[in-house]
Amino acid sequence: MSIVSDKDFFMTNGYLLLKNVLAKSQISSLSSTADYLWDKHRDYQEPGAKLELDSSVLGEQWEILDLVDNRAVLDVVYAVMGPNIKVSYFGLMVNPPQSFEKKAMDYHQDGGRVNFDMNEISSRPMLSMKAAYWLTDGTEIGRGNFCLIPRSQGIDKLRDKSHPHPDEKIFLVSAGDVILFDRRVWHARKANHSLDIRKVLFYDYTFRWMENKSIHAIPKEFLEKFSDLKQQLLLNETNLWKNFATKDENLPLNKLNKEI
Amino acid sequence: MTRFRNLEQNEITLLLEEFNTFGYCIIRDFLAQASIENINELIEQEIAFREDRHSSYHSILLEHEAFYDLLFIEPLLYLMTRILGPNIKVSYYDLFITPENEDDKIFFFAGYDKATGLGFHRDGGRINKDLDDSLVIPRLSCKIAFWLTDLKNADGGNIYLKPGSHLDKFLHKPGDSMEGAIPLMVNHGDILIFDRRILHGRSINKSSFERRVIFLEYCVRWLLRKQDMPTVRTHTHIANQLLSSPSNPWENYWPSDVLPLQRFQEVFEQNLLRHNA
Repeated sequence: MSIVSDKDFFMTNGYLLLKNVLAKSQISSLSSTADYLWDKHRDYQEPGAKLELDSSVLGEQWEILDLVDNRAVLDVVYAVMGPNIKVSYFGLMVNPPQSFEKKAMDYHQDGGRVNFDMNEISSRPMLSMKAAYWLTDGTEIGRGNFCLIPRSQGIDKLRDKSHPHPDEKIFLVSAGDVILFDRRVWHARKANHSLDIRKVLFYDYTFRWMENKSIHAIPKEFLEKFSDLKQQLLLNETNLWKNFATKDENLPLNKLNKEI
Repeated sequence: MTRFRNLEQNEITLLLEEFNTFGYCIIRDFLAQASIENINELIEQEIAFREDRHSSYHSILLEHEAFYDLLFIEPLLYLMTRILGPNIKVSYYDLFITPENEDDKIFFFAGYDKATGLGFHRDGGRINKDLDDSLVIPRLSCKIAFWLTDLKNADGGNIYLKPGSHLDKFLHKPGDSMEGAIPLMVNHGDILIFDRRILHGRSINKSSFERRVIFLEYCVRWLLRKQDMPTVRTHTHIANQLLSSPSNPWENYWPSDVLPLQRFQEVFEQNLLRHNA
């Protein structure tokens, strides 16, 4: 598919599945990093508890940082949101096997209270979108599958947030696949009733004039290696007004425009 | 201490109706004469130490009590909580001094020029462009203008507003027709509140009087500020919400506790009701 048709699909349906974005060696390496972090940070008192680590911890992991400008993903994000964007959050979600009594996560929209704070209007703007990189297999039901209600991005209130929703789409994805989704699309996670740990990396792209959702604690030696593009995506402008006023031609991401 | 006149519930209701319909509202004779004189005196003291009296005053506004107090005027704060909700902060605060007999170099209908502040625009920089594919652009921020000098005619650097344009569902471009824009005549002590989306600009100051106005902007907390807000003052809970940033940025999106301004809003409404009873 072309970027144009990818964008059209995303804008219509609120999501896009990109197959085989990560190479096998990348999956293996990122998965090992996730295992290391899981061992280090998991709650040993509660074996079934999930673990979420954000950029305040993951900023030290170059390989995870490096995905922020993965070309296959960024091309679509750029096509949808334009060049004035950044990564406001990146995180690792680890979901160990759950008991059968444990229910799926309720359907929700992302963004905390942004919809509530814009309640003077309906059909609220997207503001951000997420890329979910699957590090483990999810080709069968019952593996903490991602699910959403296609074309629900224009629905301000969902009457019933429980499972199963009659219009839901449950994703069956392989390790290395990426699901992109509009923050407004109603989405959730099914329970992980398999014997395996589910590992997914999330990257949230938003406009540069918005606050980050987590602190990017990035070591100095990494900052020195940053390309202009990574600087745009991960570092805040010290002159705050520049986030509101930089012209397209001065944004590193705009260079992609010429190549697409 | 800044003195101002009280707003009754009826007046607040009318102001909000006006604001929602037209994109702005004006509170006449709001700041007391003594407070304006005090503020103007402080400005004169500051000017005495400056080479360029027209440069930014942002840093001193947070230092002097008379300016600092303007951020916390309760009826105005209440209006902000009704317009933007309680999850807000101060994002911009500056004093503008526009010289009299300004050069007539720029035709102000031709598009916004940041260096001069002339030209019609919506506030928020490229927010409008970045959200251009949205059906409706959200409000996100709101400005209060405290007038310190009179603008009795339309030639004194008056704000021009196009009523109702805050609800326009298309991207405005420099050079768009500004038919319907009206100049605002004000006296010192008047307050203008305007939606960032309303098309606005200012006239060239051809009068023989200097123009002085303070602009104060509030925005939702998950939007970045346009200026840093350093202050050495001891913060109340409300000041902390308005001027600081939480150590965990997710708090801007999902506050873990009841917001100080939410409590303030509730108490203010109870007092309004009690006063009316």
